[in-house]
Amino acid sequence: MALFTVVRKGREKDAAIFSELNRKLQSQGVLQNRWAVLHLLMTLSDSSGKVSRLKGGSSLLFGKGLPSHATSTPFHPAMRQGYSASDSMSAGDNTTLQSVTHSSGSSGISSIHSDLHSNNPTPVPQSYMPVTTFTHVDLDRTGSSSRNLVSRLTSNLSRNKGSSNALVPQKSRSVSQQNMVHRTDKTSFELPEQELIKDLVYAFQGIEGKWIKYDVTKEGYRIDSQAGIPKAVRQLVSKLAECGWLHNKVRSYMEKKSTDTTFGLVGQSFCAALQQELTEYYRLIAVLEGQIHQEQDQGISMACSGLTLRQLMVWTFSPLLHLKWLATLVDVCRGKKGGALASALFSYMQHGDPEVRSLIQHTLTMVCQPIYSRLISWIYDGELEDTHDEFFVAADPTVKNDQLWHDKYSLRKSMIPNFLTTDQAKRILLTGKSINFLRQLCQDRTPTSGLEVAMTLDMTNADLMFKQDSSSEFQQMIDSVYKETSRHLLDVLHSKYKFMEHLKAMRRYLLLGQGDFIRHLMDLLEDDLAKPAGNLYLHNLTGILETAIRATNAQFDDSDILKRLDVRLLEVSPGDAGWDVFSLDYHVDGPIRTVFTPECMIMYLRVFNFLWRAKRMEYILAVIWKYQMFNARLLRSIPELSSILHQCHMLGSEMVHFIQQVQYYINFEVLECSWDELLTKVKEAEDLDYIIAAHQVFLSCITSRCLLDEQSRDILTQLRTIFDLIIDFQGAQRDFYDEAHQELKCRQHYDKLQQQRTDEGDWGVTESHEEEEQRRRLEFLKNLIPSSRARFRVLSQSYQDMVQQFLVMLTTHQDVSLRFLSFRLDFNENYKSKEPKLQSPYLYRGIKATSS
Amino acid sequence: MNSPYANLYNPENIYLSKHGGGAGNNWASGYCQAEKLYEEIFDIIDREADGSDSLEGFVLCHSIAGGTGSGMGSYLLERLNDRFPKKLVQTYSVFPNLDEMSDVVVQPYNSLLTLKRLTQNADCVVVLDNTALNRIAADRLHIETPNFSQINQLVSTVMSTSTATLRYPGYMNNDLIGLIASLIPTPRLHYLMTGYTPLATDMNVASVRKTTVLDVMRRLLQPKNMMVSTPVQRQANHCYISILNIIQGEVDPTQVHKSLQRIRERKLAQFIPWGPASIQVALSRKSPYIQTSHRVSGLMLANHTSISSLFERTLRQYDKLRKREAFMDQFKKEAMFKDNLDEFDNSREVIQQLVDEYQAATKPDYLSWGTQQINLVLVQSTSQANDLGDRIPMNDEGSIFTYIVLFIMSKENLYIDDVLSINNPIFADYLSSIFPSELEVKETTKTNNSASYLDIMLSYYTDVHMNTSLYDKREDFNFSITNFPFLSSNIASTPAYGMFISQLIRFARAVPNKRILF
Repeated sequence: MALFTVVRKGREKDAAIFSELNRKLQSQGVLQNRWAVLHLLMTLSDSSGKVSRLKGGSSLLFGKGLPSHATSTPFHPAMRQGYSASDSMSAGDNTTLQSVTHSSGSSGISSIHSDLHSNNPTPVPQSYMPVTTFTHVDLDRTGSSSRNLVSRLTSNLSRNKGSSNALVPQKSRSVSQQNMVHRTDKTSFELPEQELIKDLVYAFQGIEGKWIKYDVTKEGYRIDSQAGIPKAVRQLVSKLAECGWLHNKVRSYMEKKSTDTTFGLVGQSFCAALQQELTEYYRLIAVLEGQIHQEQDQGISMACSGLTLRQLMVWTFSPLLHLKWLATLVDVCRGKKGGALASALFSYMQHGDPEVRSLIQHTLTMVCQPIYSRLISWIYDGELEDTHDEFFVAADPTVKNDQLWHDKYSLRKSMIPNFLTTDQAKRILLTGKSINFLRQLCQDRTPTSGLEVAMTLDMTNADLMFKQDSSSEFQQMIDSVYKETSRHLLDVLHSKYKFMEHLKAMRRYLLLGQGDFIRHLMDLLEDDLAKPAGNLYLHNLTGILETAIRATNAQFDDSDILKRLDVRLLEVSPGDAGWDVFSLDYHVDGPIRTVFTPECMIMYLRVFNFLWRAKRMEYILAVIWKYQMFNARLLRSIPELSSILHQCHMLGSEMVHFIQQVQYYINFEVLECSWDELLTKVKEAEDLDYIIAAHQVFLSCITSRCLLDEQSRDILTQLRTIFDLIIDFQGAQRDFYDEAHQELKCRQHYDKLQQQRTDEGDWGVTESHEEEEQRRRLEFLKNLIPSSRARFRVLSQSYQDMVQQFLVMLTTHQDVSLRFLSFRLDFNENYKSKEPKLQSPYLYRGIKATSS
Repeated sequence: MNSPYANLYNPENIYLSKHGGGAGNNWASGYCQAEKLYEEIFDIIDREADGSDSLEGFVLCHSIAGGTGSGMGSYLLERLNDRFPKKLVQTYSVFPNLDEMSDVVVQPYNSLLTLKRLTQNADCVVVLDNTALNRIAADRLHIETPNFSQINQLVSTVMSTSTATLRYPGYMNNDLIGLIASLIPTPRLHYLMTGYTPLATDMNVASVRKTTVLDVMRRLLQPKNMMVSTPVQRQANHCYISILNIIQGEVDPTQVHKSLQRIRERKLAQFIPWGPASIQVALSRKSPYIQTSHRVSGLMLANHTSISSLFERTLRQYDKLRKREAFMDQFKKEAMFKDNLDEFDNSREVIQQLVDEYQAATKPDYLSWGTQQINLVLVQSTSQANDLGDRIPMNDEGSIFTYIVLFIMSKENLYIDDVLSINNPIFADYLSSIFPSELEVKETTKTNNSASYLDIMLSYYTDVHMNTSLYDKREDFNFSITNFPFLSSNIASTPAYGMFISQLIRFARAVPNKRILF
């Protein structure tokens, strides 16, 4: 093709000369056989070598280039085959050549077009009136005619001389129609061009004429094979008739779709755009028809200056191109609608040909208008009137208001026009969603500022959407509305729904931030929760909760928040004590439920459960410690027990240290740090999604650091075992103290007795008394000391093992923050010196490797 | 009653001595007077206690040098213990300034007698050392002669900060027990020293410093910021039993961990060798009504073994006075000391024990402190004896362990086969009572670090662990063994079958790991 263009371009000058000649010939009027003259000249000037080269290139081109245009032209390889088979060999050659001319011509002409119109790119549809493009029409005419000359020349060359007769009947152009009809039987007979043109103009509109009929098998308009028309003209006509075929194609699509109610507004505007294009086309046809009529009116005398097939060829050239593109669009858009349709159109926006681009742009602008108007009403008003599922925001009407934010609206991926980025689409979705959220859940009807302005905006601004390369106006609009709306939404959440207060309440109550309250609650609940879980009554617990609130700083909290605070009992499994199932709960409703979703609340409850257990350990150890202090004073009078007491103190202090460090870890590494992050994020948040995401991160961070995720299960089990050991220790110590107290009472009783007897003036003790007392004491020591010692030793040993194992597990854990815990737990490297595994350099290297 | 804060207190709760006088710097006088005032004082205390929803404990502020604070304070401590045995008693006790001569000549007596009560009847004593307070005022605040209100300001700062976490409850440390339980591992080691930084009085607020968490935590570990003056003792490696830092101000919680890491890396604090210990950190809010110029400030509550030097100092001074029986007359006037001075001796013993315990707490064997009795372990077979190696703590120099092993031959008869005694010099005395006279006791141990025992060779290396291996009798033969095919062979060419099997069984029982056999 390129070769040909070069050849043709090189011959532009010659073409100009030809046109000059042609005009002269026409003006002469005397010369009847102009074609023959031109042919002669052509033959003289053209070298046959070029033609042969041309042929060689053409077949190659045909195989490659055409199939891509198959939709826009009825010529495709398969059909060509049939065609050439039915025709003679030379005719086949001709077809090839013709198609070459056509395809190369289109690019050739368009290149001229671009020269002519590059300084005037207008989105307004190109008028097809030949007048506007008169200069190039001349050129075209000569160009195309010269090419056709070539074709004819080749055909003539390949045929015998007798075929030159075919040109002869052109002389009889002025002969009446009757004559022509009369002469149809003869093969050498030729229809007058006028007739053909008339028929062609019909064919342009998709109407079958007298001679040009629609050939279903070949899918195109063909001249009645009975008509005596030379092959060349036949080819010309069938080429011209392509317009008709294209027109039909576009119109049929349009007609089909305009009655299709499911096609939607976007589709309808696409049809309208097509209609507009076709109207232009009809105007051309009207002009043509007008000219024909004029010609007829003026009669035969003026025949020579009348419309010719060649002229028609030239004039319909540009419309043909348009029609081809329209047909292409129709094909591309087949089965698509809404945003997908716009996307399909937009993919042609980058076409190099400005003509095509302006056509597409015009169409796209029309198509985008409904999308744009919907977008405007969505982002400013939150309204979604999308009966045909065309818009890229989809609403699920079955979703309840609770889930409005999360589930109701979604992006319809296929309907996002590809000139909008995903980010923009998300913002658009978010903006409208925010408005709906405000309206429906927050009962907030404040109109979005700029709504009026936007509503009066011209819909032709739709092209802003796909012209983002050149202007950022659209982006700015989206951004400003998005910011405005999100800000408003956050304001409402903060001010009207006290989001921060609720968040803080979660921290204070579910994450045990309100220490005095939790402590007091534990004091009050201690007895109840020691019972089996089945014996708990919710109303009792709620009463206790009330008491705890009233007695502590919690009473100064907002009553709205306190109202939401409640007790909840988890599912009871057999063997559970009250401690295992007790949980605080916090009721959320309304808009804040969007952030505190039920899933979030479950996470909160899980974290609460963990913290509550840890807190309980702290509580138990406080009790243990208190008893140690108190009993150390009390049991000073039984010095034999001092070693066991010391054993208890040592174990107790180790446990206290462990739990305190776990609590410090929870407080600093888990809660404080994450909380700090959450607060900063909430402060800088621009939209609700950001807050939700931050909150999610906060929760998942807490859960994973509280060892509640999958990969920490082993560690958590280990921790629970340690907790259990602490509870065991509490029991063991209690038993020991109970026995010691009993012994103490006995001794005090004995002393009192002794005192009493002394006061009575008797001997302090009798020998038998003393002996008995000594025996009892010995018995006591023999019973209590070894067993208690063994019990505490076993406890201490297993506790140490557990803690060391726990530390080993921590050091191998992935999460860095957990290593903070192990660092805290073994700050003075006490366990490290005991547990060889903690010393192994391999382990520490492993840690460094993973932490770096 | 003229203070601007007088309205904070219920005037009913303030008891003023009717005759206007005090105890005349006499502990005994204060103690005895308090006995008489018991009803009146406990009326006040009971009224408040009954009015409390959840009473946790008491805080007593007093000085230990004078008469009233020490004597009456001691009495109150004892009575509080009797009356509220399960409630916590915390004291803020001011220790006398030892740098300057005191006008109270009987100060050592008073201190000693009070210390006994503080040791036995209080749960937590925050030591405020006048020596150190004066030093801090002079060195840190550059006040030449600090007056009472300036010193009191220091004390009140400490007191208010130490209760800050209780008054502004957060996730942790929101009760007194939670706060001090982690600081006090055993009931008697309950003397806490304090440190505060940055210090400023009203005089020099100009020296505003941008402080960070690390700054504060590091400075708190410096002796010059401590409010207890303890002489540096090179020979004793005193250490921290526990530390709690209460940090106030704008603190980034992520900084806490970093600071701790830094302190550990640089080994700024020496901790106890017998158990886990660490610096605990509590972040506390500040009163919104008080403007401070410092961004971050911190209080350290520390349990440090060097506090014992205070008690040693008291003991020394007491001993000096007591030797001369100086100023005893005043004490003998009171009923308590009329007959004898046992109370003094008793107090001295208590304080000496306290000092000893603090000393012991610097050593690794504190874990088994006070457990000096014979451990009886019944081992019924060699394989059980095998486990012994892991169970005998070899690094306890001070402790005495004796393992008596009974080897059961049959169900009816119990024989003592082998006896093992470690570090028990007095065990030999018991031997005769354990073994019937008709049995011969052979001493097999040759070296100090190995012994054969139930076919097991027990040996220990550098006091870490006991190692067990198979005891080969041939090594102890006093003749050389020549195997069979020589003329001088002293081993039978074919040992009896039964002997072979029995040896094999013994091996199998004694060897911990069966793989060694094959």
